Amino acid sequence: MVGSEKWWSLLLGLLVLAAYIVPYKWLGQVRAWYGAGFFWALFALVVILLLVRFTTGWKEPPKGV
Amino acid sequence: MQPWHVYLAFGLYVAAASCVALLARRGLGRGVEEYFLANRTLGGMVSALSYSATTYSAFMMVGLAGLTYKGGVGALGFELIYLSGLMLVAFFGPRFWLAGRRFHIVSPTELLAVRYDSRALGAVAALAAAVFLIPYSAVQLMGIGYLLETLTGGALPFLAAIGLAAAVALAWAWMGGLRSVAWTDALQALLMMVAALLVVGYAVAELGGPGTFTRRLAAEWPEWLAVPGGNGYFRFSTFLGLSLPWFFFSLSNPQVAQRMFAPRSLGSLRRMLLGFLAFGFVYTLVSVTWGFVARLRFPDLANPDLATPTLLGSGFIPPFLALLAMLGITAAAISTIDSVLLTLASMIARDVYRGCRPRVSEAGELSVGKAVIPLLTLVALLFARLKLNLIALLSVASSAGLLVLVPAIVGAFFWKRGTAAGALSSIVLGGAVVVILQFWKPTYLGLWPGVWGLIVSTAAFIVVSLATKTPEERAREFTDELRNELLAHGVGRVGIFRSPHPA
Repeated sequence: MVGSEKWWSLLLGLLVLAAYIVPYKWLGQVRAWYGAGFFWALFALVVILLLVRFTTGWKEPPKGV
Repeated sequence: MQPWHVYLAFGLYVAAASCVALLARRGLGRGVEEYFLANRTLGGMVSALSYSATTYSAFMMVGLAGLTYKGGVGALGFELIYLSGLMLVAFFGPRFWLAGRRFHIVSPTELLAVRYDSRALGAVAALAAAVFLIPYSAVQLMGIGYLLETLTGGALPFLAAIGLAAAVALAWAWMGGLRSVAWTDALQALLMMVAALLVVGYAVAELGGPGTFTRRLAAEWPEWLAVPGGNGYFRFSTFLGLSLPWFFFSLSNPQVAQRMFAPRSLGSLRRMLLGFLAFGFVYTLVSVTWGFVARLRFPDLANPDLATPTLLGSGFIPPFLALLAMLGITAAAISTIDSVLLTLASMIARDVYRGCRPRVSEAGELSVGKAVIPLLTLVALLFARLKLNLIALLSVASSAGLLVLVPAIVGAFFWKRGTAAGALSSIVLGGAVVVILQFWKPTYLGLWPGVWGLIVSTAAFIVVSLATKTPEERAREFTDELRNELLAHGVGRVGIFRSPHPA
């Protein structure tokens, strides 16, 4: 991995783990719109926003590189 | 709904998309990279829409809605975990894109052949992908067949419907390669989204608006808003078995992995990724809501897969909207089929045919690729016509079966010790385990075939690679040398809290 990639992969990997653990461990009894479904929607939005930031630096290199 | 309404709507849709395909064909140049990758010049927005239409098949508004009907909100979790799997494109996309340009790689299986310096590996991986993807296409055709036959009251029989759909997919894939596929996909993605938003918006409004809709769900079907959900369907093992293969979909499925080669720049690749994420987030929420609509409106269906046909055919949705939804679902299926056909053709021409005859000219390879598209269509059509359980089973197994390509793909960029023998044994052993378990015991020790496939293929890849000799030069080119290019393109420059990250 290059540059900051390893930190990003760690953060995103932890988020994916949370998407498995949190709804099954803590939200199983919440039978309302703000339960597991809301958590997963928030999770996906956070991942999308993080990916927007993670890919911000992608660019074409100066000619000759 | 009158049959002629369906004919008219289908005819207009095919005519409009065919015009787009013909216009796209005007830009078609010569050569294999031109035909299968649009000469690596696709813009970000077209790439994003095409990626969306290729990824999302009839499964979303039919299968995912059915899963929601059956088990509730777990369906949303599994599909959004798939969407989050697009983070893999953020890590692998620039690597695919750079390696593709450097080595003139056309398909994901060719990437394996080049990295591990083994034509046999490319050929085996391509054939393994075909074993799973042809039934997957056949099932899409079958979906269109059942939908059109039901909506026309049998006036358009199953066989005629799948023949029409296959002919359309073949024409769009064949006439202009990825250029016509990408542009027709883009149009179809818009159709899918507009149709889904309108029909689901109408249905929710009919049920009293979003507030009443969620209150009714919580009051009448509270189990469906939690996990494990209705009838305990989304137990953790089921959830893991469904979502794990899908998390890796963007790497394991060649028809989408190949799209990482096609954008004209890394900026276009980024727009493809982010555009798809936005599309996917909305389309997923809408498809799951559709399943909940069915749960509230028709709570006594014996088969959850009938949720969508029942909603569309019941009169609950006005005929015009039902027709639009039918077109959206048909577009979702056809846009997936033509992309799969094109990708499989590129893999058979490049990895199987050229793999066996390395001295073949580019024109010869392209001719084979173009000849293979109608053949693949015919095979998918024959499979769909047979309506065999075996086909459905292989299609279900496709996401799990293709998962066995993942260890070799990850190793290509991140593990210098990976070897061709390791990759080959990983694909063959992992694939065999998935197929055997799928037929013999769909859950073994509580785990689904895809999970076992990933465990076995990863173990085989590591063990066999450590026991064999790595192609050092290629391994260095795919890791150390690529690293410098990645840094030059700004990859890994932005930190989580600081920007830019020191190179």
